[in-house]
Parts: sequence; C-alpha cells; structure tokens
Amino acid sequence: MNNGNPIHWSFDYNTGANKPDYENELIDLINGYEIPSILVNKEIEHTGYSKHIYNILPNYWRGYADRSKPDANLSIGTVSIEKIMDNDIWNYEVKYKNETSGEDLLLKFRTENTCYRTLLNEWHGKIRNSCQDAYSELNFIGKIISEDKVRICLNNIDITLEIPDKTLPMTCNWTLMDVIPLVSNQLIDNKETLHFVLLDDLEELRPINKIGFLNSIQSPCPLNGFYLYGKGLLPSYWWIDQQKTTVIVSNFFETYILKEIIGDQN
Amino acid sequence: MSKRPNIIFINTDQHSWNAISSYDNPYLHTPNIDLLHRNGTSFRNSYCTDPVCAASRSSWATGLYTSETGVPFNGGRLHDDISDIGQILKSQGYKTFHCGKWHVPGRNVRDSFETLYYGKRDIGAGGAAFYDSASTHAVADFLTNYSNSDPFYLQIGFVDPHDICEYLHNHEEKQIPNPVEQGILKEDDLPPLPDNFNYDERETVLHRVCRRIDDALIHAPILRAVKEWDKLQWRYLRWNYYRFVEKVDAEIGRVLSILKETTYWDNTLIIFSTDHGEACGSHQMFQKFALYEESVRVPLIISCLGEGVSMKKDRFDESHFVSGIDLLPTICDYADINPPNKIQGRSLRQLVEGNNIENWRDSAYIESNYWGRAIVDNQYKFITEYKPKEVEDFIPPGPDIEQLGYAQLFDRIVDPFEKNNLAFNPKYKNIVNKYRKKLIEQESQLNRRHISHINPQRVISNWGKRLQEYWEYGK
Repeated sequence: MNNGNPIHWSFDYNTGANKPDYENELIDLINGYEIPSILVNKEIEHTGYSKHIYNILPNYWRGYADRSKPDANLSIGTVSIEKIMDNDIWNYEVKYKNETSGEDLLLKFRTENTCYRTLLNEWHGKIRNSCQDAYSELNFIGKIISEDKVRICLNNIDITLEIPDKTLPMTCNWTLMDVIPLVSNQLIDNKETLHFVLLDDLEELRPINKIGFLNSIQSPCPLNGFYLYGKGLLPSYWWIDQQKTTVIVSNFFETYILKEIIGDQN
Repeated sequence: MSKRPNIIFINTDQHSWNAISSYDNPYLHTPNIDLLHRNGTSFRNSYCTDPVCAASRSSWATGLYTSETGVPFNGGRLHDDISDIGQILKSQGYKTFHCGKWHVPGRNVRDSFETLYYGKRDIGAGGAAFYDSASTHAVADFLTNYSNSDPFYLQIGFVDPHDICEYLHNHEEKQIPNPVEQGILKEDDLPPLPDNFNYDERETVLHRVCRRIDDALIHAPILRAVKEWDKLQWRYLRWNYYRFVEKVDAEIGRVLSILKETTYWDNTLIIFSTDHGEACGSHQMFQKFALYEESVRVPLIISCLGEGVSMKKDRFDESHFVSGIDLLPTICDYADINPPNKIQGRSLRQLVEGNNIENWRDSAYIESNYWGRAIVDNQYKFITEYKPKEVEDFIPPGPDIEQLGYAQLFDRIVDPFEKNNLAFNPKYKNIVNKYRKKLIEQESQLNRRHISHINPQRVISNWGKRLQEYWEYGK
C-alpha cells in the first residue's frame, strides 16, 4: 500500500488527475460490479456461458480524448469477454472499444479447456477505426501451421510468425482473465512462476512470459495480486477476488475494472 | 534508377542512438531495426537538431534549424511561409501519406498529407500503447491496398519509446517498490547503471534551471521523485526503457513483414530515425532537453529490403556528421526533385551509396531550450548557452559572443561519456575560445526569425525571467 492510500500503487493513477474525487470514484467503481444473485448460491451448476464486461480506465491524464474536461468520465471504453463451452472447447468473443484510439476490436477464437486456455485453430480478428482518416477497417485470420509457426492472413497477405518456444503453451492476452484465477492456487501455495507464449490481440507473438504471485491486499476489497512479465512486454498486474474472478487488470497504459458479469462468474 | 522509389520514413520517439541490439547493446533485442541495419547504412554520428519532439520534428519537415523554423521548443509554431516535406513532395507528383505522431505545431498535418491514422484526438505525447498498434493496422491496410502507379511517400510516427515519460510521471506522487524487492526480477536481470551516472556538476545555468534545481522549469515533480531513488530504481528505469524500445521494434517488424509481401517492396527506400534520445540515468538525468549525447545523438538508418534502391549495406558510416536537417534534402534527392533553396541540410544519398562528398561538415550543430547550443565533432563536444536578453525581442539568440554564458567542454576521445568538463581547466582556454568562434560562425549562417505567436512568446518571457534571476542573484 502507498503511504496509507487505499489504492494499491499498481492501479493508482491519480497523478495529474483534475478530478479531486478520483480516488473515491475509483473505489466505487472497483466495488461496483454486480454479482448476479443466482451466483451467491454456490451450489448452482455452471452453465458454460459467461460474459465479463470491464471499464477501460486511462492510467494517465494526458494523451486521451477529452481527459482534460473536469467532468470527464473515468472510463475511456469497455472490453467484454464472452465465452461459451461447446464439446469441451471454449469459444471466445472479445470486443474492445477504445474511445481515444478510435479502434474497435472484435476477436473470435477457440481454446482448449485447460488452465492455460491453449489456442486452437483458427482465429479471426476484425478491427474498425472510427477516426476521420483513410484507414477504416482491417480483417485478419490466424492459424497454427506447424508446431513452431503461426500464419496471419491479413487482407490476403500471409505473414508467418515463429513461435519462440514450442514447448510452452500459447495463449492470448484476453484469456488470461480466466487463466490466472485457474492457476492462482498453484502460484500462491507453491510460490511457482509459470511460463507461456502470448499471442497479443491474436496478432503478435510475445515470447516467454511468466506469471507469479505478487501479494494480497484487503482494501478496497480483499484481492490477490499477480504479475505478468515478459520479453518485449511491459509489466502488468492482475487482481482476483475471493470468488476467483479477475476484477482489476492494470497494464502499462490502461486499467480494466470489472463492471458487470452475465452468466457464470468464472 | 528507372522509376522513382516509394519512400517510407519510420520514426520512433525518444530512441537513444545505442538502444539497438545491432549497435552492441546486450540489454535489449531489436531484430527488426537490426534487419534495417543489415539492409542499409547506419550513421554513427547522427544528431537531432534539438532534443525535444516538436522542435526536432520541425527540422525533419523543413531542413532548417529550430531557431529558423519557429519551433525552438515544444510550444513553438512553424512559420506559415515555410514549405514542409509533404507539400514539397505532393507538388512534384508523389502521393504523400502520414500515419501516427506528427507534432509539428502550427502546421495541420492534414493540409500536407493524406492521413491514414491520426487518433481520435490528434496524437501528441504519450499513448503508444494503443496509438502505435493502431498505426500499424493503418499501415497494413495501406500497404496491402495501394495500387496507384504514382510513387508514395509514407511517414509513420510511432510514439514509443516515448511512453517512458509516462513511467516517470507515474512516480510523481507515489512510491513504487522496485521489482527486486517484490521478488519479480533478480538484480542480475536489470541493466547496470550507465558509466556516466555520476557526472560533473559544472553545467550551464540553463541546464541547472531547467533540469536540476528543486523548482526546475521542466518536470520538477519527476525530478523531486527521482532524487529519492536508489540505484536499483535507476536500473529499473533502464530496464523499462528497453522494453518500450522492444515494443516499438515489434511494430516496425509487422510493417516490414507486410511490406515484404507486397509487389513494390524491392523499390522502396526506408529511412529510420528518431526525434531525440533519452537520458535514461546518464548524468542522473531522465528524458531529454539536455545537450549530452544520450539526448541528442540519434539512430539514422537508410535502408532497402530489396535491390531496387542502390546503396551500401550492412555498414556503419563512422565519419560523417549528419543531422535532422538532412532528412528533407535526402528524401528530395531520392524522389528526384529539387529541395527548397534556403534549407540548411544536405542530401545523404551519395554517402549511402558509398561515395565521398567534398566539403562535408566536420561537426553537428544543436540547439536546445531556446538558449542552449552545442557543437560536436570528432574530438570535442562543446556546450554553451546564451544569457537572456535584457529586453527580449523574441528572435532566437545568436550570433553574439558577448552574450554567451557558461561552457562545457568534453574530450570525446578520452571521455566519451562526458564526465569531465574541461571548460574550467585553464589549459583548455584556447580550445573553448576556438569553439565559441566556431559557434558564432555557424550561427551567422542561420536565418533566425522573430517568433510572433503569443504563446511561445510567453514561454520565452517566463523562462527568460527565471534565467535572468539566476544570472543576477545566483538562485
């Protein structure tokens, strides 16, 4: 904790804020997500469907659209992660909307039903840009073509990416919202660090990443924290609650705060 | 060359000259910039004209020094009557495109280029995390769809590693434990402190007032925070900086991968450079604004992935001093068009092709923070400053030998890290005088112009007042 500040340093981006009540607003936001009442009953059987919606908060107060306005909303966009189980395979759909970059991402992919959510063939990305410039849309399809190669087909041009370590599982940054809760006990109890290859936004390979346990905090609510470090990657911090839901993710430039859950909690 | 080449100018922001793995830096991995180096010529003695974004970029766009462009600091404005690279190329048959960061205040990028992507809000400082990725998407869309028979000029302004500034801002009001304390990294994972972490405190007044004193003109809250840092935190700053560089290298890699799959890759000239460097702990300093090597020396690679543009490949040019002013005439030369008459820069094309050019300059000239000046050559780096004028006329100072303030002189051969200021050593009095004269000669060639806009005038007045107080009362 930071000099008595109830906000952990990893997601406290109060610096330069022109909103005097930023801290309270942030705490309200963190505590504000609603657990569907049906989930309070732990006996309920999982339906195999969930949708987690996160607010995207800017980590800094410059460089974002409309951030200088005193009445600026804390959120600069949303990301929703929707998944459904089918024949022991997870089908994911991620929608990321950022009002400052102007880009909306729609990612569709499938994973194994394992703790790493290892990617399966093939995946689709659709990116739309709402800025008033020439670029308006980009589509791509990705595929694992061998044990050490991935191919991204982008506007009919194929780009081949080398998987840096074929012995490691390969997952996507958006599945980590699920992966980290699944491996959290292992990380906390055994003090292990786990390694994997990350396919960032299903487009770009980030080699050899590791996740490990950071610490636990009690304020603004009881949370266990984890770090993700990797080559060519800035550190990010992941916080999960007592129900093993990822509640806060703070990467270098953005913080995602859980806003709403539809369907299963995990 | 039968057909005029396409030209892509890839620029990063705040990228130190040696933060590239093929430049023998073992603490980061930049395979894509390395690829450009292997396919072209890298200039070892490449300097920006001014170590801040807008000023340096105004020189790229015009071939002029920053006291001539109207942008001698970030708050300046480009003089309306100066043509920029987009306007010049467009008038001569090139299709001109811009993507990402521009940051030449006073000139609407959309008036000179077709913009592929410029953000929901015009991209300024910061935000690489989403702007750079979106820029790469826009470039991918462009490269896979361009079918015009006219050649194109495309400039891609990536923001990283500039986001190291946000990393620093993050420390202004909170204490962040270092990752070794947290058990995330081992001490051995962090790069060492730079050789010049300890420095000679006999610096110019301008530098002390802007960057050293508690109420420094530039980023005082960060300065106060880093004064509390231990050595591990300085090393962690370097570790983070290298990760930002790797991130932007990956974006460059995606652009190059797509370019290689197009039909025109063979006839595309690629220029890679950056607007200024990053101190990254050298002289216990962060960011830029200073006239030390880490801030003013920048990578410059001129490359072609194919054989369509003639050039010497996989080599360093170790001998020629080149500058941001040379970018515009170089592009014009490859585009086979005449640059404007009154620019300061010269084309690098003959050097890239491995030929000699007679009477090439023997030094680089650099300006900083309106009053700061430096000259660097093979033997010495000379840094000095102008004292503020008693009555400010808003014409950038110089050439006026009587108005020069303190000096810093470094012997680059025995002291490449600029740790020992020789200007106070009587043995070097004649050398200092020689460089003072050289500076005046250099500045007599410039067309320094009145800055008429009220906002930059305010900056000059306010900063000048603070400097005046320091000169008069030593505070």
